[in-house]
Amino acid sequence: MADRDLLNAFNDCIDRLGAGQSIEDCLRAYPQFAAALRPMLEAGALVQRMRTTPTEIQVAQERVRARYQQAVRANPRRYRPVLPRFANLAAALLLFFVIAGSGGALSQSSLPGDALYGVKRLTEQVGAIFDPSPAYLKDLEQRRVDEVSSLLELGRPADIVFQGEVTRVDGDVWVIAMLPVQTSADTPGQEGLSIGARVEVEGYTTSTNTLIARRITLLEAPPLPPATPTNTMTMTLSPTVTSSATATPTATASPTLTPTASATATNTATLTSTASATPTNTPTLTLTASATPTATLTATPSPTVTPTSSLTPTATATASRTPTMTRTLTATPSRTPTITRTPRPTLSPTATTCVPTQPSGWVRYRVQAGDTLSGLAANRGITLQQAMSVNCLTDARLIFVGQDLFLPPAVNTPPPGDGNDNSAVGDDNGNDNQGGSGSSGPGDGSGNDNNDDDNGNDDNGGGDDD
Amino acid sequence: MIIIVLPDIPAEDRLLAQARKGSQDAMMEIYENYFPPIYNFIRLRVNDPAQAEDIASDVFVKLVSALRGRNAPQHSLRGWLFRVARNEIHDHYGKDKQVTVEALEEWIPASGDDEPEVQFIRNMNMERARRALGMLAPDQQEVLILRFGQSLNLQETADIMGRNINAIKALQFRAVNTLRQILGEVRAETQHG
Repeated sequence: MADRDLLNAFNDCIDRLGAGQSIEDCLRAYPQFAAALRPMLEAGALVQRMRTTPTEIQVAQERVRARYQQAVRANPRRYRPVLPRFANLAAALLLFFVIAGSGGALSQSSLPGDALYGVKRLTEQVGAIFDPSPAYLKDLEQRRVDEVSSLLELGRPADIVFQGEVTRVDGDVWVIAMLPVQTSADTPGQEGLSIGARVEVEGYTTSTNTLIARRITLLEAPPLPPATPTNTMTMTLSPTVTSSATATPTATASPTLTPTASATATNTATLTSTASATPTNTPTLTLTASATPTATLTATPSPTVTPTSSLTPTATATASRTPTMTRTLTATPSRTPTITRTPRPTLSPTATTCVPTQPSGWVRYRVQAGDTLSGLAANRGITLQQAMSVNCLTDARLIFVGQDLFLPPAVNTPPPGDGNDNSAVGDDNGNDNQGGSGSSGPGDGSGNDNNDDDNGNDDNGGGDDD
Repeated sequence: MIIIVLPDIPAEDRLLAQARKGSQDAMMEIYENYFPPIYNFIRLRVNDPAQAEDIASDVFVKLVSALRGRNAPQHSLRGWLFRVARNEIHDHYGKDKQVTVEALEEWIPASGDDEPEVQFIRNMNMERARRALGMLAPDQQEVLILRFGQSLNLQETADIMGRNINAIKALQFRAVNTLRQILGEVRAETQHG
């Protein structure tokens, strides 16, 4: 059949082109189909030559490399065995009694990735059946955190899951359950999370002592702050009205507070005031207070100054108990009801108020795998306290690979020498970079590593903007 | 830069076996070798460099996790990568969505050692061809890119696209003829317009 033959001839010609032969070579092999094949092969050859620019490919390859490398380095040795969950409950119970009675301790120090780790988790799961108390569950939670901490110290790659509270957000490093968690802009689940939230982190540890999050799941929103906006109104007569407000913030972009305040006047007048404030630039506070002898107060204070004194809309109505009620209420509250509550941040790390500044003569140092703050401090002839305060660190254990620190120059490295030496160093770096991009292989020099880092930082910036 | 990976089955299998044992060097070598062709394949189907980069990144991260798990590619790493890339494109754009072609000036022919005039004409042709390719049905685009662009053999292409080899033979034949037809129309348009 001619059609079938033509299909086969065309197919064979594609293979020949792929192997480096020319269109003419192929037409010579199939002279009977030459007229039909030529335009088809010419069209196909256009597709063969379609390429995006080498520069674009190279740029993309460089950019993706960091992420790929991270995934490769996080390569755990083996996946945990799948645990029987409900099916083998009987066997699990038996195992629990055996283990709890005797050798359970063997598995207790095992870490994710260990052979006995499965036994440990199973023991705990069965344990939770017998003792589902919050204390026991809390204890289990802490064990997960301790395991991750151990993995980090050992630099052992493993898949991990743990829960804890977000205590700090520093760029894309989150401190969760006192562990530094590396996130990236595309780590799922970070939207709407903030300091104080309880979250579950699913991720992995790497051999470079880094903890990388694959997903962060919100378990519990941050607890509402205690009623911070405490309005203290002092009235000139006798009743000192102290109203404490409870805020119910909504998690929208511009949070509105609706504090409900109750006030007690010593003069048996009980005021119940409802205040609502919008802490934008000019928060207006509206107070509605009702006294036992029905008194409704409406105050509209400006944010900085004392609220306007018109506290007497209907207070004149029935001030049966206190004859001087009108006088009382016209009195200006001596203190501004300041609402100190900052709007709940969506993702911005408002908690980090300390800004590291570079002392003169100190240098910027990027933390390497295996570094400890105390080691670095000792090496550079400063105290741990100095290193912590200059770099705004609150926990000496919390430094992570890639973090920049300000430190004095290392004591045991030879001094850089005079200006000529410095320029020579600069030239070397330049050459390295050129070599890396010009040579055929994408290179492994320091220049490329720096590029990766720069890209990473750019990405972070973008993530924050979002 | 390698843009086409010619089938070197023994070397590829060796690399794959090392990577499956956890060799990080092998994994990095796979990346260096296979990123350009995979990216180019994606980029021919996706008209946005950033999207193409994301998809390529997903493909290689998937490879890392696949190598650790039970569904690791056993052989034909190249075929596995193209198949995952193809699925990722489908996930992003849907199976039937045509990828629009706009930024033609980004496309250049592979060969760069010709006279400027020849290059210019070739660029013009390349723009037409790229536009024409974008007008084909997705499976026709795929078969041409895999067979002509990446020099994958019939069996590999069939595996990647989930069809038998006879279907691929017929598809590539139809695809190239549709491309010719569109190229003729595009040429006529540019001459009249």
